[in-house]
Amino acid sequence: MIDMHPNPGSLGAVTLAERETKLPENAQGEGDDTVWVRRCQNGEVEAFAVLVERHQQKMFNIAYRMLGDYGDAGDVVQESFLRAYRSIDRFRGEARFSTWLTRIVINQAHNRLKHTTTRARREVSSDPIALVDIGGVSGTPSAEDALIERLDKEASDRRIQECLDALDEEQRTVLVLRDIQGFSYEEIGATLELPDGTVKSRLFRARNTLKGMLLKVLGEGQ
Amino acid sequence: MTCKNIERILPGYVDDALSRAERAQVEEHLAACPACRVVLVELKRTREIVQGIGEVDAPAWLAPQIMAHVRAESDRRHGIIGKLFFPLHVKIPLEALAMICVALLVVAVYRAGGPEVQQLALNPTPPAQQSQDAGVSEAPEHAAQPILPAPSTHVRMPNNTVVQHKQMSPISGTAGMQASPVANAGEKAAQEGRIGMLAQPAPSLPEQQALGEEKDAEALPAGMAEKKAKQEKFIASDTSEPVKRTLAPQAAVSLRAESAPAPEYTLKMTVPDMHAAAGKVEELMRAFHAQGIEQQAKAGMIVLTSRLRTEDMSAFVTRLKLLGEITGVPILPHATREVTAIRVEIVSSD
Repeated sequence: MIDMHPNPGSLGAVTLAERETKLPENAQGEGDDTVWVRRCQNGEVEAFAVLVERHQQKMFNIAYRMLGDYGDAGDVVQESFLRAYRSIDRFRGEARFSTWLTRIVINQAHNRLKHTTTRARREVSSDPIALVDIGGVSGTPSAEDALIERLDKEASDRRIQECLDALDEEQRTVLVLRDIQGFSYEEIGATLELPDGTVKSRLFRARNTLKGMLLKVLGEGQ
Repeated sequence: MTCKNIERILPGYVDDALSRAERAQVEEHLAACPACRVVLVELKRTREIVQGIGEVDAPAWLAPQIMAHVRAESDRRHGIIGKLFFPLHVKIPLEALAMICVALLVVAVYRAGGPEVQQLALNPTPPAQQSQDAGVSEAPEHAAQPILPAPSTHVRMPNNTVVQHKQMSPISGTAGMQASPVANAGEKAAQEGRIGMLAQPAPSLPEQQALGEEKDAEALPAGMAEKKAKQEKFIASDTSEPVKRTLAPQAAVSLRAESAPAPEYTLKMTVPDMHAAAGKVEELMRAFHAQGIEQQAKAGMIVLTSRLRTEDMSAFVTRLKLLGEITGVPILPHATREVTAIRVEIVSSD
């Protein structure tokens, strides 16, 4: 069983922000990935830690929205980073490092979906929402309202995720990248190595399908 | 444009992903179609819901665990095995190429080594023999040196006094010998391919002279031909005194093996005149370059002993049968032994 953080909604982001501040100023931008990649290619192992810190959050969210399972997402991201490290000598910088890494994550996620019974595992529960520590927010009426609001949000997210899970893999991939991660059409085409028309047609079908599902799941009131 | 066509591209209108022409078509249709306007609202709301989905934080263990694996991978790459095999796309082709080169080198050495190497590869000799051969091959200059005294003929008298007769080198030993049929035995064996290059018996004298003159005139440089002529002249003029001579190279192989114990084979030969036969047998032995020829007179018989190259045994016995009735013909020894001790007992038929 994977050891998960008790409150993944806050501490991880803080930690990431703290770690980002420790990076050199000129290494903050996406374009500066090249420097760290080059260091890795020159055998500097710890340079890869910078790339991990920079991209793990985004990659984890992509994997999580693709798979709908927290543990599987962690495994996939871990394997993806390891694969990226093994083949970093072959990375020539023709695409951005994040694009290259995202492609690896998506391929790994697709493989995971083929070879595991993700949904069965999720029913047993490794979902972080079910493990949220609510002990610190009990007591006052305002705190209870906040808790209720939070639980509602998490329940809502969970139902949205179920709708995402119900999408075709290809459509889900494009929708996750565009509407959740905010990739441009060009970036999606580069990541998935698809022409622009294909990206759009998949996305439009995904939105139409998801619209119908969400109306059923969330009701007219949403 | 129909509602169905509009609905297909309407999701692109939400985030302004349509071309200008498509956008114009959609706006024109929406202005006249309330149902499609509702669909557009639903699409916008769906997008807002999806975009509003909460971001999940990566587990705290993720980055440390990734780096732990990465460091382990790095250590593996920089270990002994890693240095041999990584990067795979470079090292493995190089290693395959090296293996092919080694294989080609082995084949080339095997072919260039000639029959000796091939024989060694096909018929590995016992360790003892290998070491003996190795000792000879490590000091090839000794092969040309006389290891044993030059072939000589001794007649052991009944009182154990030994009279040494004239000595002859294998090449010149036939100088005072008649051209007899026995002299052709070695030549025949050579024609049959049973005698190796170094152990070829000398041809009979007339043939040797004829061949030698022709070959000397054609092949040998002037200086060498002259030297050889002087040597032959010296040998021919010096047959009356016992002379120690350096053995010819072709005798070296049989001499080298003399130290190895050889089984003794005894043949009984019945002849009308055992003294005459003894002389012929001795000549026959010389023709086969037998070593250590000894003649001993015993009661009612003359015994000749010598050491013969094993590969000559068959031809020798065949030639011996022409001189008299032979009994006790042995089962010829295996050819792997280089030298065989032989004993011929000559008795009178009278």
